Amino acid sequence: MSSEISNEQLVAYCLGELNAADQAAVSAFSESSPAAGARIDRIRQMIGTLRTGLFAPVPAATRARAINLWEAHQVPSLIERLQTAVQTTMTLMFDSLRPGTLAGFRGSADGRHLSYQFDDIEVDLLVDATADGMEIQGQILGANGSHAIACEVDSSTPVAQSSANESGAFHLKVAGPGCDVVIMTDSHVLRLGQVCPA
Amino acid sequence: MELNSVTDGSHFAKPDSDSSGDAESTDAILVARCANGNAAAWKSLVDRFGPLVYSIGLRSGLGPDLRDDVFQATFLALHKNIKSLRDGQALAKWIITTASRESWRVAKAASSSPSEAEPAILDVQTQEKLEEVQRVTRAISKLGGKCEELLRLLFTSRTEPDYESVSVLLDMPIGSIGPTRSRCLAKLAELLEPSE
Repeated sequence: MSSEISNEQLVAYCLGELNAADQAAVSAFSESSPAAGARIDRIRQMIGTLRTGLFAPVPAATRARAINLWEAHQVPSLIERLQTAVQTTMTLMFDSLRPGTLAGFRGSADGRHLSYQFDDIEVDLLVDATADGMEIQGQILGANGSHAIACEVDSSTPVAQSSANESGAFHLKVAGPGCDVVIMTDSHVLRLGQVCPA
Repeated sequence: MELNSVTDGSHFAKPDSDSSGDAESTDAILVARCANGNAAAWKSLVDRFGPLVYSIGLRSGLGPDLRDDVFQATFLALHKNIKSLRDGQALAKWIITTASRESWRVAKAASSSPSEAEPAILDVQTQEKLEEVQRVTRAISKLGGKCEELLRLLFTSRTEPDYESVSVLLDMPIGSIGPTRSRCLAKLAELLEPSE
């Protein structure tokens, strides 16, 4: 028997598939070589593991459900976001109806312009009166991630909800004279106090 | 004999070919990628450890529905704890422990109380045996091709299938099944040999 014995020969030996002469030769060789003996032990262990009956295939539906867990739990719920986010009221930086604003802005047919800021985040709003309330077009700049927007008359009752597109733009139709606009980013809950068309 | 069900791709999962580059990644790298929000890495983790989790439910004597419950509960726990599992070396142990505890819990809830031989906490010997199952499962996946197909077919059935069935299912001459099996087992042994 060669001093170089292949795994294939050892597997055949462990499975009892060698002829009697080769079986005896491998047996003698393994007794004389601790390394070969160790390899035989490992192969026997491997075959024993394979024969445990524990290699059940996973049903496709079971696998798919586990993969989908990722999507289902990836986006934190609004409640989780509210609990962990920094809550702040944004500072009003510009109001087209503020006294002293250039007449062209104040009297614009485009509606009321409002601009808010907090750190690097800016929010611009254009507010138009409608028959039963107002319409708000806005854009969020400088905030990462997905943004949910709500209009609240008190802290627990949204009267309108929306979400921003990839440019941060959003649109709200609100029944009623005014509301607090609340913007939820991945890290902040930003409140824009009492927004109304006039 | 469950040959048809084993090879029926419509019912049992054949992991997708991995185009994300995760197939060769270590467990630690996969865990880190998952913690950073990588969905492909999550899929790779499910494929890498799914058979192990499923086998633990099987080992506990649970039926298919309860095995599915254990599977989902274990991966949900993994998802929730992924950011605290930076030690990828310990991942197999963590999964074995979690899946065993879920198997025990599910069996208890289903009122088919687990036998005394199936405690919620595994002894070291059983833990090592299941870790070996995971190492062998992973090595079979690395074999790929005909060897992977043949070994899965031969060893994922409760009873080893007869060569005639294997010949039909894998389109192999009966006479080549035995030698191919030995060759594939030899390759598998090489993959499992401890690195020097």
